[in-house]
Amino acid sequence: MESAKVLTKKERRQLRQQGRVPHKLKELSKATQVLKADRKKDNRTRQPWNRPKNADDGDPFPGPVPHSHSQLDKYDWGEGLDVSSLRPGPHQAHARRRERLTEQALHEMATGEMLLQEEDGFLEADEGEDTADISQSELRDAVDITSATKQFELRLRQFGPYCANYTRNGRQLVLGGSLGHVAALDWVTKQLMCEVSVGESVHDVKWLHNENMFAVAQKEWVFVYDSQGTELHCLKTLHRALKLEFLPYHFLLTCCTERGLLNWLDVSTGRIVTQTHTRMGRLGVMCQNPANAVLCLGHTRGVVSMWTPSVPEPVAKILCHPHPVQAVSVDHTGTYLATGSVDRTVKVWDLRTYGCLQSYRLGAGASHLQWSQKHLLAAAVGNTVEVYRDCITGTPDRPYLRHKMAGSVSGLQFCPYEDVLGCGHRNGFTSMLVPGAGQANFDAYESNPYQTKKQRREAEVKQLLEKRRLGPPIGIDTTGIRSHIAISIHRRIGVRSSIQPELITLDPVALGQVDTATLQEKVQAKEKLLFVKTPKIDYTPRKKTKGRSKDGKMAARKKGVRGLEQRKYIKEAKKASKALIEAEKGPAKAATATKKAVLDRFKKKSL
Amino acid sequence: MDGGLELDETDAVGGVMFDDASGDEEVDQAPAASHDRLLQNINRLDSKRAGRSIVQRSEAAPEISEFHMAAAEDAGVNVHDLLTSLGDQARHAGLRREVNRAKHQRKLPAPLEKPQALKVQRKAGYEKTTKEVTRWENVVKQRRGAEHLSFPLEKPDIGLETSAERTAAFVPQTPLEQEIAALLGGSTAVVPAGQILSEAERQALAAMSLDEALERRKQLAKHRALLTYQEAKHRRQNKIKSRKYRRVLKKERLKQHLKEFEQLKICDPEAALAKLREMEKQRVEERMSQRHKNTGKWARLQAIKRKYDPAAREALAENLRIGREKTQKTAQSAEDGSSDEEEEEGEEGPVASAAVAPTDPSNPWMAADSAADSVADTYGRYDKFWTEQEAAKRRLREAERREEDAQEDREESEDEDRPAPRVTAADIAAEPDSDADPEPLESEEPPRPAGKKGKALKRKADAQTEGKKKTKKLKKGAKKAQDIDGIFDTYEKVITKKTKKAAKLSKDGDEPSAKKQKKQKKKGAAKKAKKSGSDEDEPPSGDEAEKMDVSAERRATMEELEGLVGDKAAPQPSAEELVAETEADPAPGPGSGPGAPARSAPELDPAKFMAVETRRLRSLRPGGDDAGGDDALDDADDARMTMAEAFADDDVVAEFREEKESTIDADKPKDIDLALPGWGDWGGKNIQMSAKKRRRLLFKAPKGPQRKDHHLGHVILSEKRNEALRAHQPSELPHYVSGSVAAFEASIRAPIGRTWLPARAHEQLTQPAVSIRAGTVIKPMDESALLAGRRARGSSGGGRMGARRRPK
Repeated sequence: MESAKVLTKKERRQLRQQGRVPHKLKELSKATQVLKADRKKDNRTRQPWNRPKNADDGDPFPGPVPHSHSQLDKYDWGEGLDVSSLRPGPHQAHARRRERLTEQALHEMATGEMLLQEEDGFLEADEGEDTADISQSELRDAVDITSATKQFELRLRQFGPYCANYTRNGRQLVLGGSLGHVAALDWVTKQLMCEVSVGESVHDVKWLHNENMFAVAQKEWVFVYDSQGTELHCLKTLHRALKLEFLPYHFLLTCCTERGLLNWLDVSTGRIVTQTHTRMGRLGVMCQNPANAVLCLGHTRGVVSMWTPSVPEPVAKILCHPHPVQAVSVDHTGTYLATGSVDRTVKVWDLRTYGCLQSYRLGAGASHLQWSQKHLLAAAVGNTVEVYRDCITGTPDRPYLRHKMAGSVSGLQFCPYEDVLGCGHRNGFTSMLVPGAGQANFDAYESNPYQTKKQRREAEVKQLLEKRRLGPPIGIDTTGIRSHIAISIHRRIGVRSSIQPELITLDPVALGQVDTATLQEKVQAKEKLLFVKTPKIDYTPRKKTKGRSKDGKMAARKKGVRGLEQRKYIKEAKKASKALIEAEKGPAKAATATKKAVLDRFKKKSL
Repeated sequence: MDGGLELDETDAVGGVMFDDASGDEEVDQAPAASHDRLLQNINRLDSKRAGRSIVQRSEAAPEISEFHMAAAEDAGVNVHDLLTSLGDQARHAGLRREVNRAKHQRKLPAPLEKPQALKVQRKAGYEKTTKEVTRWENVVKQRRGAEHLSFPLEKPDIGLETSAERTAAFVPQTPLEQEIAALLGGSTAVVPAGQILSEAERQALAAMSLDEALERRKQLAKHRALLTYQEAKHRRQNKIKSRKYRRVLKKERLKQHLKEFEQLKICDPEAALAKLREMEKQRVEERMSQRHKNTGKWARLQAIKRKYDPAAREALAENLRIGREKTQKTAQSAEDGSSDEEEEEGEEGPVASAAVAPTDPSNPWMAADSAADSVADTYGRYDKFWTEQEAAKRRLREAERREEDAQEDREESEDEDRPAPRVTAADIAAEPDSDADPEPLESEEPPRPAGKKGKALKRKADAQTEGKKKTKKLKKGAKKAQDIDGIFDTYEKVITKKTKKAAKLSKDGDEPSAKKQKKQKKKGAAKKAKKSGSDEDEPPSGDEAEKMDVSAERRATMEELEGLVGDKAAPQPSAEELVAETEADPAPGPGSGPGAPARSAPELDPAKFMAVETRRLRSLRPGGDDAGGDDALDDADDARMTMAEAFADDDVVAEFREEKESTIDADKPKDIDLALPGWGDWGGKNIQMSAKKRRRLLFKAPKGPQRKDHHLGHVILSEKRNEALRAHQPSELPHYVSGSVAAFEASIRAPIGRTWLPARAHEQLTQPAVSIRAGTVIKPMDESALLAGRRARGSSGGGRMGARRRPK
């Protein structure tokens, strides 16, 4: 394969039209080499250091801050608009200005990186040593006291195995023992928020949009509790749920059930958005794609299927293994999918191309898989948790870290913004240290680990407002220049995933794409044209005098007019369908029909 | 005529009938009547008379009145007739003249019909209004294209006042001010506005003794006389038409210039440089004003004339000579420079002269001899004569010049103040590896492969521009240096060196990269070999080997990439490269060869894609032992593996394939079958519809676009449209993108929300088009807006329209 081949814009567009590049790739390939090569060309215009320097203002570093391509690529929104292709006039001027401002914004964002002061790092072993051999206790002894407190073990032998879930900011933890023990705690301060026994089996626990509420999938139904352990709701529509997921931007609680149903429940309104019968058997393996809010299910036929609430069939189905899929996980960028099967293999897939990047064989089938924010992959093999580094591009032959639990692992999650991996197992819960797992810098507007009560409340209101702000864009006038903004807002609000449930799509930027009618629809429209029925003609004759409006006369007149109209309509329809048929037959036949033979001149003219 | 003849006939017939029917008594009357008729008919025959009816007054009337008179044929009374009737011509000459004048006077045109008049009026009105409205066009355009308009547009003028403006209005008021003003006003030392000398100065000049004044006067007179002499001399000289004289004069002037230049070179290098430039400019201008040697209209004319006209011959010869002189000059100077250099700095070598050698084949102007040859060819026998003559002349001239040069050189060598080396220390400092061995020029380089040619060319061009830049930089350094004589030479040398160096660099850059690639290939091969060696225990099938090749290569490229990037973000770009690869090669599966057809049937074999080489990790077994590495363990592992495979559901793959097939079928647009058995045909049992008819009534659905998953055997992507999403998608395009979906999508690609952008960018991007200051009156536009627009355009250099800037 020649990787250095640079495709032109046109070529790529052609490829895309032919479907040779998956559609999704279009947006996600922003940071590819191809673009890099393109960018290298227009270096001169792009780089601020090429701008004239103002020598007399005494600034030793005049002009804006220069940025590297890799920095800019991180924030890039794709190829720009070729302004010269627009019609000249005020719109072109506006578009040009917008392009300039967009480019400026890109640079500003790259400049903002300066503020990200935290650095991440990984554990490095001495020569002859292996990081996998470093035990958690050794790690705990080596790290600072604050970090050391993050490594702990909860021995809960009575109600295990345990599943666990961290809040989005990584501050709180909820534990669910399968024998009915549910507990929520601030795991950093080890402060217990609540502890209840639900008295029936617990399959899964999930925090909702903040630490005030969590959902528990119990034996029959899904229950919602608040942080005090008070039961708020019993969701009987979610029957016999096995796994729960919460889509934070959409406020959707989703669950897959024993009976093969997939449910999306809007927790802001309490209504079921969609209930889909997957017809794929018991659904015990589920994860969400955080980038586009699509749900991924693992099935016994080796297939991973992806679901959105608006399409009643899987939007994508990937045959990943020839054996049942036991574990799936999608990383936070929505790019990589890890699947684990009973055949002891773990595969890493690129969701942009649906290609398999890596395939690994473990000691046993991985029962749980989990990506960290820095692309470490944790795999639970029996009672052991192994964490792999560089498993997307590199080819590790041994784990980065390994830890043996007190029992077989039943739940796995990396704590966001922390170097911590939480594992629920047969005999409790273990929080282990995994250096380099979490994102070092957090976006406080997105999720703030140090959120105060007031901030939490405000964030909740904002979240709800963003979800509720938009209805269908009926009023958007696409002909005006300012509609750009309207559409852009509309689209960008849901860039991670669209806010309204129907906007959840495999391609997260589909909302910004123009809806061109599909071929199928065109064909259908034509088909309809062939079998048109005459429309009903509602005609009431005028009242006339001198006995001309007797019932019989009226009826006759009515019939006459109706017949006239109908005949007219049928004539037109016939003409149209004839034209259609002729068009289908093609011009070649028409040509043969008009071709005259030599002796045709002796034919009668009237014929 | 016809009528007359017919009449005659009928009359004749009638006559005969009369004769037959009536008696003899009637025969007497007949001749008179028929005679009258005959006369009438004859009258009618006369065409001239036929149009006119002669009217005779037949009855008498008691009073003669115009009303009783029959109208005459041409009733109009001619003025001329009236005049003639006046008689006595001399007395009425004035009247006659007046009448004549009146006759020749132009008549006013008849007024137009009303609709036409209105039409003309409307047209004029339209044109006028168009003109008026067009004046506003720019203003409107400007406003529409403006980034932002904040109303009211008229801003208070807050320009800075100049000191002159401020002092103009100053009136001294306080006593102190008045005193100072009086002092200033009364002083004779103050220079009044618009004058050169103050009063005091003028007085000082005036105050001289008589002798001094006389002497001064004499001096002035002498000076004036000299001036007039000189003037007369110049006038005389200007009138001289001799070519030879002019030539000599020019040469003298040149010498003078050179002398001045030599002097300046020592005392004021900057001025010398300017002088040099001026001289060069003069030469260039002269050169530019020179006619084309033999292609111009004039030259061709002369060529025709030359056979008969000695003057034309001479003119042509002169023209050619001048041309050669002009072109030879550069060559000569270059030669001079190089020879000088050779004399003074042997180790530098003849580098500069190579670039501008007079025998440069690429420059036709430099080929003096060949040019002469060509001329000789065209001019034939005669020209042979004058070429010889010219050659002799040229030899003479060259000898002269050489002599001159030698003289100059001698002078220069005598001049001891002049620093000896042409290439100064500054030059050497600017060019650290100037002592690098001279390399052949780019033209002598071995030809590059075709693919790299463009790049190489570009690089060359870049190098040249770079060289130019460097020379610019160097200029400053050279200014400081005392030596200016060799400036041009030095520059040329520097440029050639730079280009050479750049060429060499680019060559080098190419070579190592090629080497690298080779190396990489080797590496990849080695890796392959290694891989196959390590995997000996489970020999791969043909397919697998191929697949491994691919993966090995990929890994090699990854390594390469990592080596290139070498930063923390290593995993990201390498993955991106993968994407790029897949983009380049649409079927990323190991099974797809490079020679696969562009558009093929959808891929249906999932097994192809699932088979990625599995890597065994040193993972823990549930028992607690390490899985990887140990061979003995591996065997056991494989045994277990086979057990697992035994239970593996092979149907999984086949099932998936079937599912995909059925999905493809379901998504295909269906054919329309309009066939109705028995319709227009015999019906009943066992009666088949004719295949032809069936075919005729079947409308094939057109082939749909390729499926998104057509190249992925292991993936089914739903082609179903998201109807819920469609309601939110834009379905129309704004007019200005002229139907381009891609352009529209690109235009809305970037976010503008606060969540995704820094505050400033957000504010800029969402700035409203118009803002209105509350509580202010916004007046409608008037004519002043036109002027404002013009002013704005004038200030912005006529480039960008619109964009009224807000004051900061």
